Amino acid sequence: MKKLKFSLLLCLGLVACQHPAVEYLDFDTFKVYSVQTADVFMEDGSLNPDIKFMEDGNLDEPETKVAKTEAATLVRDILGVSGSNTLLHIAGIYKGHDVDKSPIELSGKLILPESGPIKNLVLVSHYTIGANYECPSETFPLEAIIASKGYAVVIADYIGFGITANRIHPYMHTESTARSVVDMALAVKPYLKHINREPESEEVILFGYSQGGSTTMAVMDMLQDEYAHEFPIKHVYAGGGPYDLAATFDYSMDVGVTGIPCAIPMIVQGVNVGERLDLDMDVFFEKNLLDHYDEWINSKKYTVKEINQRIGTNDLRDIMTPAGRDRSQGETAILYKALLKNSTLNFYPRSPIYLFHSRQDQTVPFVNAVRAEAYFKGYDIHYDFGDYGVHAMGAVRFVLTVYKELP
Amino acid sequence: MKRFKLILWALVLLLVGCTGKDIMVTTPVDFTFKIDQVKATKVKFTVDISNPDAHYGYFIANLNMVEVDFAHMTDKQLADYWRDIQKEDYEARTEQRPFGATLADVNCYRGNRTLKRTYLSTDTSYRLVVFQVNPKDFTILGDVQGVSFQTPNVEASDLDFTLQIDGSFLVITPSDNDCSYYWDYESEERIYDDYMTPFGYLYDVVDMYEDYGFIGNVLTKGPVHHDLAQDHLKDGAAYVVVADAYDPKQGELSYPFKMLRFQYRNGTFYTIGEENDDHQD
Repeated sequence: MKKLKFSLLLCLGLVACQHPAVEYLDFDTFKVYSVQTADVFMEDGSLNPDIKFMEDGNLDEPETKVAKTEAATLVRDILGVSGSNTLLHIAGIYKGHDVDKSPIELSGKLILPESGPIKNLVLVSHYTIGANYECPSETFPLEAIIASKGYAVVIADYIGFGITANRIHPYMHTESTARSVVDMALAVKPYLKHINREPESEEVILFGYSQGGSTTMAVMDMLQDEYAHEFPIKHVYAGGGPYDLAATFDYSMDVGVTGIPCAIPMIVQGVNVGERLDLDMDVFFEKNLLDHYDEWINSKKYTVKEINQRIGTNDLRDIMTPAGRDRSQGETAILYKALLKNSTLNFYPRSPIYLFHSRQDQTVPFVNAVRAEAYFKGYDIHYDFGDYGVHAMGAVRFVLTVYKELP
Repeated sequence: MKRFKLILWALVLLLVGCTGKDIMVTTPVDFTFKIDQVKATKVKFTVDISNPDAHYGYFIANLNMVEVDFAHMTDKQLADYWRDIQKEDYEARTEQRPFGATLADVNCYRGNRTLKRTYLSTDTSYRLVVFQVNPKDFTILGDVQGVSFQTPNVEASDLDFTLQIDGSFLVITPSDNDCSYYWDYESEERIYDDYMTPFGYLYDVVDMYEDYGFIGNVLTKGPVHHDLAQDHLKDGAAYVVVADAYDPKQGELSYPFKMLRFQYRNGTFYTIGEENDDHQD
């Protein structure tokens, strides 16, 4: 396959038993199970079609104004700012922490330029995915193109994806998802030293959009509190994040619809698992969702868009029970309190942040950016709020803006 | 091929988008503001501005202050005072470390916003001024609008608490089982890092619950027996328990509040100290 040159494939971990001749590599705590190379751009100048873009999960996909610009020129523009075109993709497993903080083996991907010095470690928190085949260790995530400018990009799969795909993903549970990212960084750091690709600077860059935007803020909080010496933070790039889950809940209940139906069961069961609340899903989900959410969400067979299509409606009355929509009562009040607790607007940043949000975003409502602005005002934050289209379009703009801004 | 087209489509949109820069509005636009709520230590107000890209700021001057005579300043002078202070502060901070954010990023808002200011003094006169700011040179644009308001006093509560660690249980015993109060605990390190003081933590957390209209769901009446062993605490870390009376009618915490420090070590909980803290200014 010309598009993807396999220079080395060490089938370990999940497929280790099928290839007993392959030696298990153990670099401190980061165990490599596959190494590949992949180009950002193809020989004809087009972007590698294997690069994973965020889906637009909206059921009512709005018309978008496509600029009449020559595509070829635009691709050349990107190619012009690209540094190392060939990237090394190292998927591996590492020792992390479960939701109850007990040890667990997790997976993720490290992406490096094929050669040359590494400037910094970039900790990417990935956006919402549904199918396991979309997880970072299985794909070429769009965020990974940043590696081509001389960065080591670390992307954890989180609990519930990769080698823990059989587990419920603690979606929007800030402590465990941020911990997965930080644990992977801790594992990768000695590994990079081992392969003589240690970054020139100890400072790390944090980066994430959507779910990853919120997780990125939680990672920042965790690094500031617990790993200020190991991982001083150079810059944080967060975009389109649900930083304020409770405000998102309130906003959605007010308007009666959601731009991302699958996020409802994902959040309810994710926060339930993360916080160990032992909530009864019957209280929250209407019958169709209740009957199928386990297969749709937890089988990890379907993408966000496919799950949304199966749910088949944006109307919250068809997705959630009246009790599930009433935050003042019983189990919903317990969930709501947990949503407040899992807000990432509960610390003060000590490094510069670039905060991006599209005012048209209906998937992660703009109220999140407004709340973040209100909370963080006075700190070194560059707010980039504008009319940047729907959520998925914002993702592409955000990633490429960061790509262009990074030296 | 379909996928390739999709990617190109995304790139087209993206690159067109990426060429744009922040819009700088440098001419006056129309705006209005109104005070929504005044409480003993807080004020909430809403700004409506006709251009969502225009920058604006606000300043709340304590008219009872002795050090600066805000009471005799015009609204424009108050706005200029705010501008000078922010510039000075920004320059001092950027001298220590370069900022990625501009002066306007750090200090101004854009778009319609409901804004809130906390930690005001009780029983005090204030003047709130709102004004548009030129993001290029940080000068005040157009007319400055202002309104005065007065914060009410907070009535002290007679409610007292006994805070104890009994084995793995945190036991809170209020002096009156019919009074509402709020209690919580957090690691001491986090409290001092993010909230400065235990009262700051208590105040901010209660303020957050008020903000979301959820305070009624987190208030307690009567004694509490909370099993700390279920909370997966960090070994060796110190924690602070805080408890304070909360009057839903006033919508404010009372004073003094009560706190207890304890440490979790090798599966055991040790009391470090219990104290009252009169936070009243």
